[in-house]
Formats: sequence, structure tokens, C-alpha cells
Amino acid sequence: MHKMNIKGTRKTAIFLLTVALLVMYVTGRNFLAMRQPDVVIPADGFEKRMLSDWFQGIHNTPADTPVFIQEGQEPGGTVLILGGTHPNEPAGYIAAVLFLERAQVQKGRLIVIPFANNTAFTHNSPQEGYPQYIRFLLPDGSVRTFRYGSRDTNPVYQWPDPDIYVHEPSGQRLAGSEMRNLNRAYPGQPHGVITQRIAFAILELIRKEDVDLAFDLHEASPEYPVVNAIVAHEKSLELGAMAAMDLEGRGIPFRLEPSPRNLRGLSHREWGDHTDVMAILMETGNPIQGRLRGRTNEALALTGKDKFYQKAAKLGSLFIPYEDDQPIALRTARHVTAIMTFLEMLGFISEEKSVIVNNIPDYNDIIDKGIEAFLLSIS
Amino acid sequence: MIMLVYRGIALFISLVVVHCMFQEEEFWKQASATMVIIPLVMRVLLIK
Repeated sequence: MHKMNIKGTRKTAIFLLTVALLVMYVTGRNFLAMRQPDVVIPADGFEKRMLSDWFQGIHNTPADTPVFIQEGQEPGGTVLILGGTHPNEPAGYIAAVLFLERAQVQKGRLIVIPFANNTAFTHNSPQEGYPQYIRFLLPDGSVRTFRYGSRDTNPVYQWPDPDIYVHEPSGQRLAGSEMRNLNRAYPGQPHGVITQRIAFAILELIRKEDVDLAFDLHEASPEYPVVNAIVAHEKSLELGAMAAMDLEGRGIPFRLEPSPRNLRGLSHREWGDHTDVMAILMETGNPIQGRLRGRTNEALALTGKDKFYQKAAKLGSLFIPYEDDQPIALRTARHVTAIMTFLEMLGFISEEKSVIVNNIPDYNDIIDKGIEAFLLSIS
Repeated sequence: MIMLVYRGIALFISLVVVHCMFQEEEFWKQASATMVIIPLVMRVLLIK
């Protein structure tokens, strides 16, 4: 192809630098907007604290994140719900937000951390084409917006990645970028990099608040075997089996996976090994995370509708039942319903550790009416 | 500390690229340099 021959001069250099500055201004504003926290409206009774209250090592850093605690009238156990370990897995943090905005705790204590890796919400994963935001149109016409972040801590706050990430204290070796993955950083290091300090802070909260049962909410690609699954530490395996059977009986099947003993750094392994908590990690199937996906945009994050996944499902290549779509309402309903089932089962195992939470919509309500029917309006 | 060194290197390269732009006599090479500067400056400012 013929290229236009234009002579470069000082004037053209100044012109191009001006264009560069304009591009930097527009894109810079766009990137910086993702550092604005998402608005949440805690239900009555929640007290807001910060994660740094349990570990000062993240105080005044971008990693510090809100922690909401609600205590019921009757004494009971303590349950932790963690969303946003991976901010590109929205059903996890939307489920946590749903509990935050609706829960009325009757017995025991409920602790909700909706945005566990706060810095990972401030950027996107490069070269994935992910949307920056997901939005829900509420019945009153207002819009709730949530950031669609990255799996890993923002490299602006933790850089450079090593060639190989050696997990402490196990010595397990992983790809260098996994050093910014919160769910490979447990039990955390008080003097480590920022992701390790977040992990340490969460462990400190679990220890100091004497948490009995803790959930780490995730999503995974439909072709990944650990999907629509409950992963349970040995301490929580019996409870997990009870919950999985109950859910199966209600037509909401979950695979029950024991936490592998030699897979280190994950919440379901390290929380259970380093504290007394019953640790549970849950996964739902999210096509936007998969490698088979086509057009990648906000609609895919919300609906999970993708023609290539429809084809893969027909070929029997997926680990979730997939017909035409996998909407976020379904994925969130699975998390919410599973948590409520666990709470019910916790009461069967130990009356004194039981936690009763009211005002949480049931599975069919969430699917039929959508997430937007249960989020609060900010207008 | 390592982040400061990294930003220093990114700033140094940005300035060298700007200097080269003003020496360059081909417009399209100047345009290529412009595209190199944008991510470098974003890194220096810790925006991206």
C-alpha cells in the first residue's frame, strides 16, 4: 500500500504530542474513574468498619476495604460472606451486595466484605475485552452500576511480578502473575506485598472475630470442571455434604469438591488450616470468563448468552447445564440460596453456632424478578 | 523502591522518545513515537 510521504518537522512533532496529550487525558480519566468505589446501601443494622481495623498493615492503602457487620438480637455463631476476591466474577460480589442490602439478622452475626480485593476493582484484565461496568436498571428507573474489574491486584499497586511466584509458607511454585491473585495469597504475610497483606488481614478478621463459617464467592468458565461447585475444607465437608444434598433435592445441583491438601494459597485450604473456621468456596458458571466465548461485552456478563457456548453445550463439552444463556440472576441465586441452605444446616449441627438471617429473596424470586428487583435504589 | 526505579526508567525512555520525535524527519515515524509515549506516560503517572 502506498504511504503518504509527509515530512516530519518540529511543528508536526508538537501537533502529534498535543494529540497524545489529548488521548492521555481522555483515557486517563476513564481509567481513573474505576478507582471510584461502587455505591452500596447497607440494610438497617449493619455497622461499617474497614478491614484495616483488623490489620493496620493495609491502613491508608488502596487495598483497605469496607467490612459490614450486623448482629442479631439472639446470640449465635458468626458467618462471613466474602465477595470480590476476583472482581471479574460478578455473581460473587453481587450475591454479597444482596446480603448487605437486604439481610435482617435475627440470631448470631453476619459479616459481609463485598469487595475483598479492592485494588483489583480498579482496572481490567488486559487483552480480554471485558466491560468496565455492569449496570442494573431498577424498577423505579434508576440505575445501579458496579465495576467489572480484574482477577488480580492492579499492577499500579504491586509491581513487578516475579518470573515465578513462590507461595509462602508452602514453597509451591506458580506463574509470576499469580502473586497478584488474592486467592493464591492465603494465609498472607504481614510484611509481604499488598495482596499478601490483604490475605493476612482477612485471616486476622476470621481469627479475631471467631468466625464459624466463611464463604468465598466465585465464578468460573463453563468448561472448567470445578464449576457449579462447593469446595469444602475437611472441617466443613460434613456441612457441605448436608447442604449439597438439600440443594440437590430442591433441583439446584452443586458438585461437592473436597479442598485439595496440596493446592496452597486458596481460601478453602488456608482459612481452614490456619483458623477454626469452616471454609467454603463456591463457583457458578460464567461464560464471559471462558475461552470459547465470542463477542465480549456487558450483555455477555449479564446474560451469559453466547452462540459458541450454545454449540459447546450441544457437543457436551461443558460442566454446567447450558441451554441458551446463564444470566447473572441465576448465578447469583445459586450463591444466595446455597448460603441460606448452609445457614440452615449450621443450625442442625450446632444450635449455639447457628445464624438466622431473614429478608433474603428465595431462588425462584431472584430468577423470576432479576437482581434489579432486590437492589436498593440510590436515587 | 523498585517501583520508583521502574518509574524513573519509564520517564527517561519517554523523554528520549520525545527528543527523537523532534529529530525525526519522517512524519509516520513521529506518529509511531507518539503511540509509544502514551502508555509510557500512563505508567509514569501510575494511571495504568
